[in-house]
This record gives sequence, structure tokens and C-alpha cells, in this order.
Amino acid sequence: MDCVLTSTHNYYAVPKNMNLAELVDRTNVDTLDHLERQATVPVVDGLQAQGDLIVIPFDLLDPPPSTEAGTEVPPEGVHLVAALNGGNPHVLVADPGTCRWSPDRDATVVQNSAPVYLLHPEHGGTGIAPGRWLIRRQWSATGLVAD
Amino acid sequence: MSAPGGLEARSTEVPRLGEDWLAHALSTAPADRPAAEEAVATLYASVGRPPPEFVWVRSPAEAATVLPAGKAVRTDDWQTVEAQIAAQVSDLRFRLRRRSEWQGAVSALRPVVREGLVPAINSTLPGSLGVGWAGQHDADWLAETDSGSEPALLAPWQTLARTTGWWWPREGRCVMSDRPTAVHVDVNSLPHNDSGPAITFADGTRAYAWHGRTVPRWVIDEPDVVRILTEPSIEVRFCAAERLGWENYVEQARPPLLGAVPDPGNPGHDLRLYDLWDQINLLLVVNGSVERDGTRRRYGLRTWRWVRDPLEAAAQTYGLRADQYAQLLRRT
Repeated sequence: MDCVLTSTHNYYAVPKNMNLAELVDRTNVDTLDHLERQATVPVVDGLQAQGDLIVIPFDLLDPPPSTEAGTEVPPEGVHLVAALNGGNPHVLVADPGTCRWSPDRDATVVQNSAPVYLLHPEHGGTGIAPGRWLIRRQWSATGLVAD
Repeated sequence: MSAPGGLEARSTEVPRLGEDWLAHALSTAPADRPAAEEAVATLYASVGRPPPEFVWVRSPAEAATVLPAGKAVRTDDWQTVEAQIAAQVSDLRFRLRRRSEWQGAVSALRPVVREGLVPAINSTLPGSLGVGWAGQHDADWLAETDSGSEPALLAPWQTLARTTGWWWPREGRCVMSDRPTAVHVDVNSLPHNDSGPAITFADGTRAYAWHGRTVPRWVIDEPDVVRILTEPSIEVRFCAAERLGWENYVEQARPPLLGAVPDPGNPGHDLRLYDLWDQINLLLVVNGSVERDGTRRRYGLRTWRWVRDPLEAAAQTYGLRADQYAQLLRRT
């Protein structure tokens, strides 16, 4: 998976080489303790999945969503899946002023000018390169998948 | 914003905002018998009855042994104490719930309580015990209910949810059950235990559940392929196969493999699509992240039976086409 990942864009005023421990520090979400805390979280510039969520670049969608990402992501992050009764959330974490989001029907539209991160207690962290993204949930034949 | 003292003082009569109804629903504390009995007596009084004699039992299953047996529910008898309480609470719920619906309130407790704990406990009963209520397991509708201008009418129901288990009012006599002594839940607070009963009562009554779904004991204690294949309920089958582990199930039952392709973005792992049971396909996916023991969990998704290609099946779960999903760079 090495060749397809972009490096962290260090010309933005963001912490370089975020690792899981730093992501955990920024939110009130903790990850399982067997996940490697000090490893750098890769930033991916393209289609990627984290458990039951998928991050889709706008240019893969025809037509792309018309929704504008309107709300700035606050310092403590945004819980993209309001986990049932405090279960496992996917949290979107961004530096101030670098990322906006809006709900788009049952998905989420995200626009970021610097790498942002998705954090999940069991799946750990993953980075999203600057761009416009639609984040959608996974469905099976019996309904929404929750992990 | 601070309220004038008088308002503050009066607000103690009103249920606290953000009360932890989930905690009440999952409570295993001994019943607060005096408080529960007082609340029941209030409800008896509201339909013109004196306080009943109270009979406490250790579980709903034990209640079945002391409630009048064999009496079919009569729909023409509106004069019994239970029918009158039912009419009253039904009216109360109708009036107070409507207001909540306008506010868009939907209870996240419904899957936990009404679709999880209640069916599990019902599975321990020999049949219907007639009209009764669920005490702590009325928490889901209480969480949806805005007491509004009529807190006094709702108060006994709230007290019962905070203090006791299930109860059955009858003329002159009310059967009251203690709460369970143990309740196990998964990360989403759904009743679940992969190594024993999810719910246990003091008299030894046990109920089994897998991620919120009521299952027979064998699913948890002795899952095996023959039982799975002869089980009539697809839902129970699915739970049992998950309990057994999809890897084990596939190895032993050998369902026809429709196809296997490399999982894009998850190097070294396959997407495998099986013709599982009649009209049900199963997509086996390997997790992108490792488990505590260093292995990766394989999880099963039921997919649409007309899709015969594993890549397309996986793509569809995310609302994408196969050629789009093939561009997946990374899975965590």
C-alpha cells in the first residue's frame, strides 16, 4: 500500500506526521490499546474505507453532491456516525480553519484545505488529503452496517 | 442563564433533563420496594382502587407461577383494574408523545429495550401473562415522553422505571418482579453475551442474546453447523454462524463459493461471496485493522442475491459500482 499514499502536506500549518496518540489526545475518543500509537497515520488521496464508512472523492461521483460543506469542524471533532448509546463513533478531526462539513441526506460532505483525520476506537486512524469528499455509510441487505 | 429562585425550586418536581434512562433500563440493583409500591398504589388510586396486596417475585418467569393461570384475555371487560390503568396510560402516552414527535425526538433506547431486553425476557415466559408493565423497561417510551404540563400523571411511571422490574396489577393484588441480577451488553448497549446468558435473574432464569437479538441457549453455548442448517429462523441462523465464526462455518458447511477476488485497498485479503442459504448471499470481508491477538477478523455481510460478483457485492454495500470500488486505496 506504500505507493498509493501521499505524504503529509507539510506546507500547511498542521502538525506533521500525526500519529494515533496525538489524534486520541485531541478527541474524547480512545482507541483499543493494541493499536500502534506511535506509528504515523497515512494520509490517503483517494477512495478509502474505515470499517462501515467510505470516503469518496467528488470526482468519482457523477453527478457530485450539490451540498456545500458549511460548518467548520470544531477542535474536539465531529462524530460522523452518532453511535448508538455511545458505541463506536467515527470522529472527524481537523485543525482549526481547515475543514468544513455538512450533512448530505444520510451521508456527509467534507471540504478540507489540509489533511484531516478519521479516528475510530477499533479501526484506529486514517488521514484524508485536501479535497472535497462524500463520506457514506455501508449497507447490507438487512440494513445499515454498524461496527 | 440563571433562573429566578422560585422557578428553580419548582423544577425539582419536574423530571431532570437528560435523565439517564438507559442506566435505568440496564440496572441490576435490587428493587426499591417501598417506592415502587407507593407508585403502584398511586396508579390504583387513580382508577378508584385501594392499595393492593403486593406479591414480590424474583423474575417474570416466577411471576408466571403466581399469576392466575389459564384465563384468556377478555377484550370486552373494561372494568378490571389492569384495563383501566391501561386505558389511562395509553391516553397519557398518546397526548405526551405527540408533542415529542413534533420536536423530532426519537428514542435511541428502542433497539436496546423494546427490541432487545423485552423480547429476551419474554423468551423466558411460558406465554403471555396478561396485561402488565415493564418497570425499568418502560424507559424507552418515558425517554420519548415530554411530561409537559402534566408531570403528576407521569410521575408514578417514571418512579417505576427507576425502581423496579416488571409488574402485573390485578384486583386487590399486584405481582411485582425484581430486576435482573446480571445484564450483559455489547458496545452499543444491546443485550449480548458470547459466553453465557445475557440476562440472569435471582431465581436462575436466564435469557440469551446476540447483539440485541434474542436467541436460544444453544446459539451461545453449543453452536454447531447441523443445528444452524436445521434452524428455521434465518435471524437465529445468522447469529449462530457469527457466534461459531464465519471462517469455521464456511469450512464445515461448505456453501457454494460464487467468487473470490482480491480486496482493493486491503492487500493480501480476499472478498469472498457465498451462496449461503436459500436466496441469501454472504460476502465475507477481512477487517482492515488487526485484532488484539494480531489476527484480522473476517466479518459477514448479507448481500443482495441477484449480485453474483464479489467486487460488485462489496461496491454495492457502499452505494458504488464495481469499477469505482476497485479504486479503493486503503481500508482500515
